[in-house]
Amino acid sequence: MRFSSLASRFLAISALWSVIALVATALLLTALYKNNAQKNFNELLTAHIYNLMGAVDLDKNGKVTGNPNLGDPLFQQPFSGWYWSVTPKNASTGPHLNAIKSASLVDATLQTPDSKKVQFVDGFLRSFQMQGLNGESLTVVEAQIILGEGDDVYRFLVAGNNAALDLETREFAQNLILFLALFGLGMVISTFAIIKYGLRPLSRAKEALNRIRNGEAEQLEGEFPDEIAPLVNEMNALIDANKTVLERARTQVGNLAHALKTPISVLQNEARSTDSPLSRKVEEQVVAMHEQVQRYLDRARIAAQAGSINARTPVAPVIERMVRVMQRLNPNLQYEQLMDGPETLIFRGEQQDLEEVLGNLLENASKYAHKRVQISVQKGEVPDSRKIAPMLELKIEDDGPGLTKEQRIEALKRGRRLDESRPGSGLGLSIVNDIVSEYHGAINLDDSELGGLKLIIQLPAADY
Amino acid sequence: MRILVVEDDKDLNRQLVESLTEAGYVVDMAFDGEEGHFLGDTEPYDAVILDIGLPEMDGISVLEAWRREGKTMPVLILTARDRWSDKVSGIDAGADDYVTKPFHVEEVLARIRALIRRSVGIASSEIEIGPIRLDTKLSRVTVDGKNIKLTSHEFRLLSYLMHHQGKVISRTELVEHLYDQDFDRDSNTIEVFVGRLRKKLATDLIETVRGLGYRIQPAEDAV
Repeated sequence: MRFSSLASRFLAISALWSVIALVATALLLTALYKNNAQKNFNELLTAHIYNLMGAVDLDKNGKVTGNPNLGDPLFQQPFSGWYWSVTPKNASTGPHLNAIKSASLVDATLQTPDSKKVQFVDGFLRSFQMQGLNGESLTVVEAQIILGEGDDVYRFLVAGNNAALDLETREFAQNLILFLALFGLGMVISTFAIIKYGLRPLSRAKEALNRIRNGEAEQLEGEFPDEIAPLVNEMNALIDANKTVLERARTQVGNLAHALKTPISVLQNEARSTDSPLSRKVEEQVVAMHEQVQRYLDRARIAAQAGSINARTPVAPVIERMVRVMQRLNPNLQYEQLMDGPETLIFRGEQQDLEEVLGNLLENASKYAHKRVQISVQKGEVPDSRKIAPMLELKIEDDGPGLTKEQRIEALKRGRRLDESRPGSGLGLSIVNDIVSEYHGAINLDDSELGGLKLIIQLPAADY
Repeated sequence: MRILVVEDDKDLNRQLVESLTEAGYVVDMAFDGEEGHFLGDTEPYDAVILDIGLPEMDGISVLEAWRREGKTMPVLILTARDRWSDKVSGIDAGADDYVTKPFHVEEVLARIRALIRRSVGIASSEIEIGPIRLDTKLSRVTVDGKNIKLTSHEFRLLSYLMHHQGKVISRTELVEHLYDQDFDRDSNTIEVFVGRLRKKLATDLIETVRGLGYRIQPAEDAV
């Protein structure tokens, strides 16, 4: 049998052990109780023997006489299983020897085993089990003493019905089983509680991992017990190492690609300065080289992006910086920012990507604007396939000439695929489009109230 | 107009210097950050072309040092990094514009022209004063629509005065901005050039302000 959870493993082991322990306890206690009860029963019967011996004597004719009253009316009831008798050891030694017995025996005699089989302790007292007259189970105590002046040995016998003993033992066992069953149930419940409480740090660790996936945390946070703390630390170290490796890979690809750009510049300019078949060939090849370099740079960026799970970027500082940069590049334009609760706007993604989107779009808007460029950010919600995902809505508007409906459709189409784009073609939306679609966002174009184009970008938001 | 090019790649540096010289600028060059920083710190330049990836002292540090020391000349940065995060750090350090590698030299020339115009507050690429029209793009001068042939020194002198129209420019300033660092500076040659210019342009727009220098007054209808 396989158990998929730790809790069910613990529960199964604990339940199994409870059953074994409790059954063993029940058997042992019942046996002990029965033993003890038997001892008490024997003592009771022995006490009856002494009573009997005190109440019986020989009369002057040498006859056994006496009217013992052992207090229990069952000794009067025929074949009740409670008997007493006083008989001479050897009835054959003389007809003068008589016997007396309880009324319950009526006219019957109990056939006791031979003294060789069950010996008298110190030649005086013995105890044994035997079958009664009605087939009932009996406990018998028998003593042999000499009565009178002679040496005639009499045997005093008291028998008790074991039914009483059995009933008592059964009642005890029933109570015991009921009690132990309750006890066992309690144990299982408390085990369950212990597991629940004891394994809670694990579910907290699960929640912490979830937070990382949702981009709400960069590390597993919180206090963990000594047993899990090393695991949590290892996980955090792994997350860090992962980040470092990605960062290094990204840097190295970047360094290589960027290092190639200076020689490409030189070749390109050198080729353009003369006009010959060679220079045309060189120029053509240089353009191809640059496209390759650019493609690998973009790919490295996208690969790095896919690996990062925990980026959170506050939007307002990025917008402020980009606007400051744009203002410096285009001192004649007027930039306006509109943000709802700037500090609550958080992009679930990398700062570089947000800068890339904003930089390209603002640069575009600045190129076409007459006087004004407006950027506004709002929080919104977009129904995802499974749940309502919080989104950021960025609008970038200008007061330039704008685009017709057909041009807008064309601009979006052209930005669709990386391979189709050429530097400086269309609206340069391709890189923006790539980034936005990586984040499962959306781009829309519309007319702006300022008179020009309005770009509407939706990107995932993180909780404030 | 005097320009500093700081670029460690010898070929790229040469290409830039050749094209700028051809376009009528006086050009100084540096091949590492320290040399570039020193030149920018001690010589007056009308614009600087600064590569970001330089030996000895990287471009961003050079730029930050200049701005800290109060140098305000327009700076165009050359960067292989075309991500906005890289451009932003350049501009935050005090750059006025950027060109990403690989680039065509024409692109750099256009940006430099625009930066110089912007730094003196001129909006159009053609500066017009009275009958004189200076096309900064084509490095061409016309008077009443007629092409005037000028030597490179004459063109630089006229261009500088027209860019700074209305201001009195001292001979020292003219020498500093019209010749590169290795030139034997003798301000008397300026007088010769001014004389020749006046003759070629056939106007008296260039005033001599006694004891101070020269000035071109903007015409009433000029920008």
